[in-house]
Amino acid sequence: MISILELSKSFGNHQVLKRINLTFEPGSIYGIVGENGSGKTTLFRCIAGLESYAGTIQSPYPVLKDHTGFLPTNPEYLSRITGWEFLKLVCIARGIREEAFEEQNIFDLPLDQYADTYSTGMKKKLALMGILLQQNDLFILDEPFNGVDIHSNMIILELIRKLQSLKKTVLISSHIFATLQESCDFIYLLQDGQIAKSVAPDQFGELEAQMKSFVVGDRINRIRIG
Amino acid sequence: MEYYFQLQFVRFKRLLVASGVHPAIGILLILAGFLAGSYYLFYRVDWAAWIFMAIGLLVISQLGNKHRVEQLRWIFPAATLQRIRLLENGLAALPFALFLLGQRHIYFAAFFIISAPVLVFMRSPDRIGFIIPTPFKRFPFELPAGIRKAWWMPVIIIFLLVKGIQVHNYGLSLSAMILIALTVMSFYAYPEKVYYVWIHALTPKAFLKHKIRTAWIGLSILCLPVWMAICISFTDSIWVSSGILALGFVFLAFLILAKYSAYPHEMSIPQGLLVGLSLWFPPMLLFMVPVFYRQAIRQITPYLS
Repeated sequence: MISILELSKSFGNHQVLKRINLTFEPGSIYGIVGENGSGKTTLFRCIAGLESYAGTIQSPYPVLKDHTGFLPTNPEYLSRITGWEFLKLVCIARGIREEAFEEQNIFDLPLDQYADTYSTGMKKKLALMGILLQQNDLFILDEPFNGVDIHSNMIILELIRKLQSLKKTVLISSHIFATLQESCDFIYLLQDGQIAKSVAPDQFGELEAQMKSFVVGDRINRIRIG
Repeated sequence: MEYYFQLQFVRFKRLLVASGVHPAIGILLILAGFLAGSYYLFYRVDWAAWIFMAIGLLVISQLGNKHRVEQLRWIFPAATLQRIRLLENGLAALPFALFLLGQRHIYFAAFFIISAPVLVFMRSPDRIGFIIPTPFKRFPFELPAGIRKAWWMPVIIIFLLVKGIQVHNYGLSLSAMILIALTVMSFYAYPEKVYYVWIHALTPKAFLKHKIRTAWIGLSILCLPVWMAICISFTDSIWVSSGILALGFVFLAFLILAKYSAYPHEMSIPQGLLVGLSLWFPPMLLFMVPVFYRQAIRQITPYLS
């Protein structure tokens, strides 16, 4: 179990996360929703250990990040490195002796091409393959469905279910509510750096309706289209 | 186009300020460093013009890197882009060409002046979609990426080695080995993105050891054949050749420590000067290696713990 206790994060005077308390169980999938700038990515980066923070993160591992696979919204690649070499690099980084990448290439990526020349969706799929090959226990997927074609989205959804069956912990953020509805055991609504709501599957529909009325409201009528 | 160059100058001044140096002092230091280093090279080495030209071409080729040119292409029309690139290469070539002329190496200077604009029109193999195979597929990332970036370097190295052996010029052959070491060091000059340090399940100490070990494997594979050829051709100088090779390994490890001592930022100008001084006067390494090692451990710890 991973516990986040009183986690706060500020950039200068701007407090992005305010005393967040969350618990993540193995074999469960958690969705984090919120508007742009609500602090989702910052929360993910804090859990991954990519940002310093105030508060505590407890886990059964001596170093949580060594068991964490983080899929950023826009994965960035080193120049002049092929997809195959990127996968080799992420495996070496975790001491995994793996080279059979072609046979595990579930997204049919051109692994002999430079990764930084891939399209947005291909970059995301390569990064996802990398964190899967690392055999992590915690998966943090920041917008995994964005920019990815519909066929690959179906594969990603199935992969998330497979991770669940393997007792892995998965955190997902997505602006596509339907994908979270389909996959999550729990959804947290992040608003102004705080967890405004924790929702179980039987209340997902209600949360979506609430978000729609709160976010959309009468905004559409304010712009003069045509 | 004029505004672009003004902006580049402003960016350069900001870089100096961010490095903790007043722009005027920084510019003077760079000029003094260039002149002192160049004079020292020509004073100590009789085949210096070759190395000087190779360094100059390496500097100019950096201006034509793919991302930079793509960004410029995104902003400027094709004709303006070409004018900017020609002027950039010309400006970068000027100090090297003037120095070569000052040293009365007229043919070298002429070759250099002609090469600068020609490089604008040259396309590196990866820009035409060709993936250069390297022996370092299993040792990502600095080695394969670096070899592909310096794809044209082997031509110069083989030329120096073969020519040196042909005319029985030990210094010229040795410069091939030194150039390999300098090229491998250049692979480790810039900090990678934080994600690529963070992914390692290693302690800071083990991480540095892993980086140095990989770099040494690369340097061995690239340097040993050249070292052997030199040893066979110049049997009297085996100890000198071996000593210089050993120094190459030490310098490479030192540069890796220096790089991570400033991580995730690039080395500041004072740090760069300390590195330069240590390379010029190797006994300084005895003092500087522990300093940079401690700083490197401190700088990478937040991303590995």
